[in-house]
Amino acid sequence: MIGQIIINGLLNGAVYALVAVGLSLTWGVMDIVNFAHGEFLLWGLYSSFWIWALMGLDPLISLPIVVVLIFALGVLTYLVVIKRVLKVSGLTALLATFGLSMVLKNLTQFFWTANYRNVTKPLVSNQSFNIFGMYIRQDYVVAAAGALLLTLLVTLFLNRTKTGVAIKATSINKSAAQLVGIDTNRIYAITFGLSGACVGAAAALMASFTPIYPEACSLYSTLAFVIVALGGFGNIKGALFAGLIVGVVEALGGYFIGTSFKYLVVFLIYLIVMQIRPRGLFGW
Amino acid sequence: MKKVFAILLALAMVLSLAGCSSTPATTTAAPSEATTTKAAESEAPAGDPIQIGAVLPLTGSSTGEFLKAAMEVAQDIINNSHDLDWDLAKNKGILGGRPVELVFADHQASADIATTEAAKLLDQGVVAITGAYNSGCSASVATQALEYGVPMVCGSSSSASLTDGSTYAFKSIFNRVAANDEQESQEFFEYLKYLNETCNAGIEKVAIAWINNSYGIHANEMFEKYAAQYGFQEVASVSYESSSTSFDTEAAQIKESGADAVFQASYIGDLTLFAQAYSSLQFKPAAIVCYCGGFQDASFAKVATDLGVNNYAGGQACTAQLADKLPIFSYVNELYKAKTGQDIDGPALEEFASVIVAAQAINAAGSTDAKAINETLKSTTFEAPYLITQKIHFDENGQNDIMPAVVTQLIDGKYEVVFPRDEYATADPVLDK
Repeated sequence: MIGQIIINGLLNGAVYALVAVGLSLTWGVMDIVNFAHGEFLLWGLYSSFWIWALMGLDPLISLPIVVVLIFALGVLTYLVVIKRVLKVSGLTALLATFGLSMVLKNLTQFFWTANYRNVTKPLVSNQSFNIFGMYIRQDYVVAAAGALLLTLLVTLFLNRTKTGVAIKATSINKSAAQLVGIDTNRIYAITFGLSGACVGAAAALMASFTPIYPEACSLYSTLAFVIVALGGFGNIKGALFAGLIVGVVEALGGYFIGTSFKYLVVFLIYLIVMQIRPRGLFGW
Repeated sequence: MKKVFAILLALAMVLSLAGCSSTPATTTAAPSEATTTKAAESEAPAGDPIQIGAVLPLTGSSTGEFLKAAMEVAQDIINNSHDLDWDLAKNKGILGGRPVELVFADHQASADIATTEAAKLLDQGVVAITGAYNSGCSASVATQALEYGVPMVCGSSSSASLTDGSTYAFKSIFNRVAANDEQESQEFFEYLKYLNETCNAGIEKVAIAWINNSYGIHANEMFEKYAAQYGFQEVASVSYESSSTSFDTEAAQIKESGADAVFQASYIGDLTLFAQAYSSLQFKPAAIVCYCGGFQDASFAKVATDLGVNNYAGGQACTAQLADKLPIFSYVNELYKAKTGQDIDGPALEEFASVIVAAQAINAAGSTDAKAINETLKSTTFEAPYLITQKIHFDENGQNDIMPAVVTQLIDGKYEVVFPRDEYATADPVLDK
């Protein structure tokens, strides 16, 4: 039984990490808090759903389309909301994204009502592999594989490409980056776009097992912030490990302490870690 | 910046946990464009409109759009002349032809907002109030209504505490159409007993998964009471927060308990995730019996069909399968379908009934005086030709005491009436082991 609980936790944790990778780009790397991250995920889920409902394309097939759509949403967010407030110090950018989050959530409600929607008969079902008496869900395995792949791709992008290095340079010292000829405006726009693309990929991978409604991503969003902080700001791999830790802690906490308190255990551990290691478990 | 945000994040976490206790809910696909019915095109009744308040979860994590549509059908039935063997539908309006005007308010599934919205409607002078779907919100609305002495007819809230006569003080003005979870529990265990006696189901151990709110807490209490009374062994009671991202741990605990039958007090989102988790664990108890909520949502039929399972059952006020046996229900269903594109479900029919009963009470009282309406509600048996029971009657605590629900089972995606075994049964129970 414990094995089953841990497997469930790891697979759920991989899904959390999947959502957190995109956030770690804007918050962790660029130090811009995007409170609308959960709504990006929500719009990714709705995009997957409507493409499935109207065109009959499974979310896994439409993944590239959703990635492009949410990439565009990310770029647009930067150009319309973030760019103008970046020069203002303090919490202005944070509050601007908070406002954006409210706008996107209300638009979701307005366009698609509060009704629950489900993708039925997905390409990869919720049936399980039975390995040593443990049931391992196929849809979760695909999402977990997606989380690993996404982490790898983002890490490679940041370390091995010119744009990736420019993103890191901009995050470390924006003025110095400008002095060496980096177009920081373009870099910010790309980073927001990439963050959106990551969360679009996450949405496409989750769409087959997540009921879709305007409040569907509230907890995912909160957990993503916890995971990025726990994993260490700017550490993409840290976010993956932190996601897995959160998943396992949630599952074991629920099993041993009570399912009503499973998130309490997660947040308690977060608070303790922040006291001991304010830069997160894997932060520099 | 990061330090500042860490503080904000801690606040967000607190808010998130607080959010865990909110009451989400149901529904399916968006209602299509409202279709004007022939009856609605007819001449409107004369006289000043009589305002009835309706407090529903119209936005937020829950939706009352379908419930609102059902109430609007009731308004149409009352205000326009319909060719039915039912006086209320034949005549235009009440009290000699005055139309009923529904005034809607949105409580967003929050008991606090429900209080404020109810107070606004009552200040506006509504003569009766209906709603509020979520049991906690119905209690808030009723508490306000009591202060004004205005009668409340509650449609679909199921918590037994609303009408136990002791938890709340509002029994003098409160009346509830739906079966409460005590009535449902009794009927569910009768159903399990029937399955054991006639279908050799072998159900001995029972478990429950319940959402940690007013609805779930009372459902669990009633489950425990009647499991003991009917001699079933309770092997697990698992509570959960509705905002959880998955219910794999909860489902694994239920499976580990070895339950032969599982009870669920869940809304549509959580019930869907539970169904997926049970399926992935290859857990197929003889019956999964659901207290109203998510099971009654038409979208769950698609989920169960998709998963290929037939072992979900639950209470319903009515089902589309009964259309041939209940012509007035069939007529109401067609009006509703024209507005929403789908068959009317249990909660929607109960909200429909709440408006009808409020109008019948005003009509029978002969005035819009709150005291007279309250007295009529407590002393009259109301005609309800759209229900299997045909009648609605409220006891001194406001509970409809003519058992207003049957056990339906989702068989191949259709809600079939399987219990009681009377003339309204539409199919035999299926043991989907």
